[in-house]
Amino acid sequence: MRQTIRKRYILPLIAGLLLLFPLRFCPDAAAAADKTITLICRQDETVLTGMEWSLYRIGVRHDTAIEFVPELSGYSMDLGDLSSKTVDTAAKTIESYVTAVSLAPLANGQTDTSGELTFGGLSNGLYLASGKTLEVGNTVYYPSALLLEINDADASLDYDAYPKFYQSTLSVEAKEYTVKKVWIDDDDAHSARPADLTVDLYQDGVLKETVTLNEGNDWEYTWSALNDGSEWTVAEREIPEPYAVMIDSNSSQFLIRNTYQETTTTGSETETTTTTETTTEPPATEPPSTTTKPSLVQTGQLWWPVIPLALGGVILVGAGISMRAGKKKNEK
Amino acid sequence: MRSKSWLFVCLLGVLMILAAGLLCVRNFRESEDAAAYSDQVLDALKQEIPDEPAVTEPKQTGEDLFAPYETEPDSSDEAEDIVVGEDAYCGFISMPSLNLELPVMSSLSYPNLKKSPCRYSGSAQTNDLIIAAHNYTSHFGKIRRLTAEDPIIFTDTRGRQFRYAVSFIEVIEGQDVDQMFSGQAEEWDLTLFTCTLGGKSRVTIRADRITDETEA
Repeated sequence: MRQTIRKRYILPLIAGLLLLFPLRFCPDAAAAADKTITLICRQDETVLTGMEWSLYRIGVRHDTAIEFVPELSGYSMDLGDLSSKTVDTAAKTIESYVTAVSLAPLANGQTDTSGELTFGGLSNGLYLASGKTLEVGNTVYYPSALLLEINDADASLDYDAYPKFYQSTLSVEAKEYTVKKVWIDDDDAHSARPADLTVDLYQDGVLKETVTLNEGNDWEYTWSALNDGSEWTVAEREIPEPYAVMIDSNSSQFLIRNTYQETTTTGSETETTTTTETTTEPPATEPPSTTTKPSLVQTGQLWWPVIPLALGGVILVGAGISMRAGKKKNEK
Repeated sequence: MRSKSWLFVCLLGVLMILAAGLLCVRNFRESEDAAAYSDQVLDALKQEIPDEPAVTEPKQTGEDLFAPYETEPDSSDEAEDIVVGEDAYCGFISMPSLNLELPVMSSLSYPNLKKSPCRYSGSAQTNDLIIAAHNYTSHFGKIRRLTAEDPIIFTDTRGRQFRYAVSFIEVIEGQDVDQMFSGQAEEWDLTLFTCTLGGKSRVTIRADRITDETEA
């Protein structure tokens, strides 16, 4: 009888729970694609109307790790801690590889007359917003890529983002660009470096040149191009193991930084740690001997005794006066 | 003897108040002397330092990305100290929001600190300059009043101006040398510090370098 009851009630109950499970415990499934990102493109008093942007869904974040979409997952990227200081460089790095793999954008659009562009219908995930240069008169505005995250923690469904811009004046003169490769590894890891590396140079997203960097050219290459508002990006074609790449840039320099990832295997777990910057090229200002002192230099005047001394003095004077008054009273 | 005990207590109290007063006078005088000396040195230093060189702009917009990775730093790029009196100075610092301008000595010592702020570590070129100064009102006593985005300018002995904006302020324990250096050249480009009134901690101003790129 008990077995019959089990079969009759427990099995449907389990089936019911299984049906409910995805709804209750899978936030991704439950998360509605109803969030928006609004890019606001204004520079001082200039409204950047008609700036073209593409939005890419590049993956999802799990705590500190990022699970990239398959097109990008083959590239070992060093994105730092994604703090406010490193997120711009992380966005530049990802943008380089989005260009290199020709990732299809989720959406495209142009800023309106108020310099705003809204991408709607977004679900949780990591997004990269990549803009194209815009000419306003004789000035070219270069937008920086933006790395944006939408997750369940967002209180609002709308997210405003303010891209950064730098500007340059159009000229007929050629401009020089340089790409430099640096290695961030310990001296004993030099053997892990390849003899040379292939770097692709893209102009407005189109592959223009492929160069080889090695010891012979000091891991550096310089090229000239018209300063016509084109946007250049670079990408290291194959990232040598066990390095991770970070790409930073300004208006004429591209820095490709490969950081050695130490891999230690313990049982079934594999840990990856990033080496500190002990490269061939250290910023070499050693702190003066003062820094080896056990404490920081004393830069204060002796103020603290003033209040105890003054307070103590007032109390004692008061006590003395009251003692005298008491004595006179007793004498009378 | 007992009858005079009230007098003894009163005298002791008066002595303590006098001691507090004398200490204040001594501190104010020390601060005034430091202010006078700094002003004097600053005038001399400004006469020695040329105006900002016309050709200091790098070829690219923003900071030089390659500079930290150059194997042989260009030593000619380092500014030489200027000697005023018997002391060497590496430049001067301006905090317009506090209406404060002070010379900066190249090396730190306790006698030097009584005269002017001192370079504690790093340099403006490598974006890791730390300047320490006494908390005299005329030196760094007012830096706690700085707020985020307040401008700070360091002018080196070549006349090159390094512009910064205050990013955050923290109070660091006097023993915590590691915290003073943490985030060097990554989380901040310039640090100013001085003692709190109690002397146990350090009021620490962190500032970010403003480049053309960040200004744009």
